[in-house]
Amino acid sequence: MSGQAVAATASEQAASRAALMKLLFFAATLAFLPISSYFFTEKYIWSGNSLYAAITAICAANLVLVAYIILSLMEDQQSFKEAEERKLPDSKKQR
Amino acid sequence: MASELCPPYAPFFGFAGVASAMIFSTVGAAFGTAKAGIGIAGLGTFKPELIMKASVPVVMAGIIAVYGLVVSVLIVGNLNPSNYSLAAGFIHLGAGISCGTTGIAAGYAIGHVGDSFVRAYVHEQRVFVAMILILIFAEVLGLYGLIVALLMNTRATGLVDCN
Repeated sequence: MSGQAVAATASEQAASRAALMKLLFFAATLAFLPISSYFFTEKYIWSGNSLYAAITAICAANLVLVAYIILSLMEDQQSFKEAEERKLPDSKKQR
Repeated sequence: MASELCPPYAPFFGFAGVASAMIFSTVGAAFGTAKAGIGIAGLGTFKPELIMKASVPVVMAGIIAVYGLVVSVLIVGNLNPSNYSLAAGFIHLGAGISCGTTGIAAGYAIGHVGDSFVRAYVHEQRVFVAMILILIFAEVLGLYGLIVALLMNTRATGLVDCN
């Protein structure tokens, strides 16, 4: 019993560390991606037109938001499946 | 004609526009982040596995600050200490204020909506889609201010030749 409890907390720690890494990655992306895409596209793609560069930066920021929402939805589906798989062997043991 | 339409204090209004775009949108984003963070802290004590999904209001409030940053960088790129007319200064000031104060409005809405929905998310998980929908409506308020700022900024170039 105690071995199973230790294994459960270790996997919980790994899961929380993965979630923290994801959050840090999205925070860094939201900080750097829009402004760097503004300067990069202004110089190399739109040849000095700053309006198009600003629109590109806004699209990049909203892309980060959509990616975050999709990732959180996928993670929720995955944890739901894991909870279902964990319930099945327990119900078999009770027989 | 040159000194009337292009006075030496004209860049003051341009720089005030840059500052107000950044300052006001950051105020809105800070309020949204803080208020939603209070709700997430409440949710975290009961269901810590939902924190990742519940942090969506915080990300949306961060995007409001990104709007202000982009408008600031855009206006700064068009500023010029010489050959800068007073009309261009007023246009840049209007662009900065429009982006900044709509950012305050959007951040205020995101904060209250995020806080209430995240607290409800503890009890009922199906409110997540409704939360995303209402947060998107709150976010486009800041987007409208950004669009107006971009439109105004395109009018500011090539207005008056000071020389």
